[in-house]
Amino acid sequence: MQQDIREFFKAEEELKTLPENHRKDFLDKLNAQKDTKKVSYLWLKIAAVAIVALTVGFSLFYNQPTEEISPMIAQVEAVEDKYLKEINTEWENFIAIANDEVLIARFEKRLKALDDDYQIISEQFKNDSNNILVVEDLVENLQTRLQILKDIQEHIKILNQKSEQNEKSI
Amino acid sequence: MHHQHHSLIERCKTGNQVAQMQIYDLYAKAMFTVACRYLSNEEDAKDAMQDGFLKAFLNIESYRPEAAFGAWLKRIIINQCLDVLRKNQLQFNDIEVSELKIVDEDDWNFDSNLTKNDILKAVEQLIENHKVVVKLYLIEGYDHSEISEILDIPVKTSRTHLRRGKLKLQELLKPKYNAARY
Repeated sequence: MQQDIREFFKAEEELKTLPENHRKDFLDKLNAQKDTKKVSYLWLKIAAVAIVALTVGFSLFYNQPTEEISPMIAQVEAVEDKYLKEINTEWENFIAIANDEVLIARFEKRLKALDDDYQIISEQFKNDSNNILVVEDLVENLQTRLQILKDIQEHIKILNQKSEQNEKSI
Repeated sequence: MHHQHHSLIERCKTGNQVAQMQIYDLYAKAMFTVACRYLSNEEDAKDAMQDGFLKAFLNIESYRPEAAFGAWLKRIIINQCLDVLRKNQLQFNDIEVSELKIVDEDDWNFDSNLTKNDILKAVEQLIENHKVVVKLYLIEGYDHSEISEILDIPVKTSRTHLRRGKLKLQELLKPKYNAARY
């Protein structure tokens, strides 16, 4: 007679009895693990603070004599450059389709006002180049100019379409 | 029960020690039984079991509720035991993978006079790596792809070990079979 011995192991098996102090043992291990975790986090924090302090210290130290451009200023300048180019293109597009002296003059004035604001915020930025609020103001100013130009062009297009339709219907 | 279980595990994820102890109490006995299959010294088995629990709690984020928690935990405990065995020079690499004989892999028929205990005793007499593979297959019920994952060996190697283990088992269990005939 033969039997498949795998069947023996399909049934629930009698469980072993644990050593007496196993719970206390485990609780100690659990606590030990928690402590090492805490310690490592603390070390990470200390390390992070140290790195930041060192970087700030170094940049302050090195920036004083050479007046090197900080990465923040460089970044803002790059963004500014991009926006100004785009604003310029949009301005030319606007002039091309506007053919209304009064309208052009009005927008020139608005953009000039925004540009004046920009110069003032720029001054602030030069004094306080790590202030994120100032940077946001700068970018918002540029975005507003771009948006104004896009809006008016859209408006002109719609007007043109309407007048075309009117001409056709007449 | 199931819902309660789920919320226990969720609380374990936040590092709640009371919940961790409750999970431990629920599974410790079964997991200790598993560990004892691989580590003959009960003290070692207890340590491996507890270290496995610690690892499980540390990595509890990676537990997916699709799988049974017990099965997930058992896998970790077994790995922990194997780590201990590996420290004692358990090696699976240098084995020539060959076809010994054409044997039916699915044939595990042994003499019906044999008891479960006879089998377990015979398994203990196998050489270390055959022993581990036979236990993973026969007792835990893992298939070859799972065994190859657990031991980090090719499926082919796992098959060879199992085949050799089984042959050896048949050999070991023969004398008794003959004796019974006298």
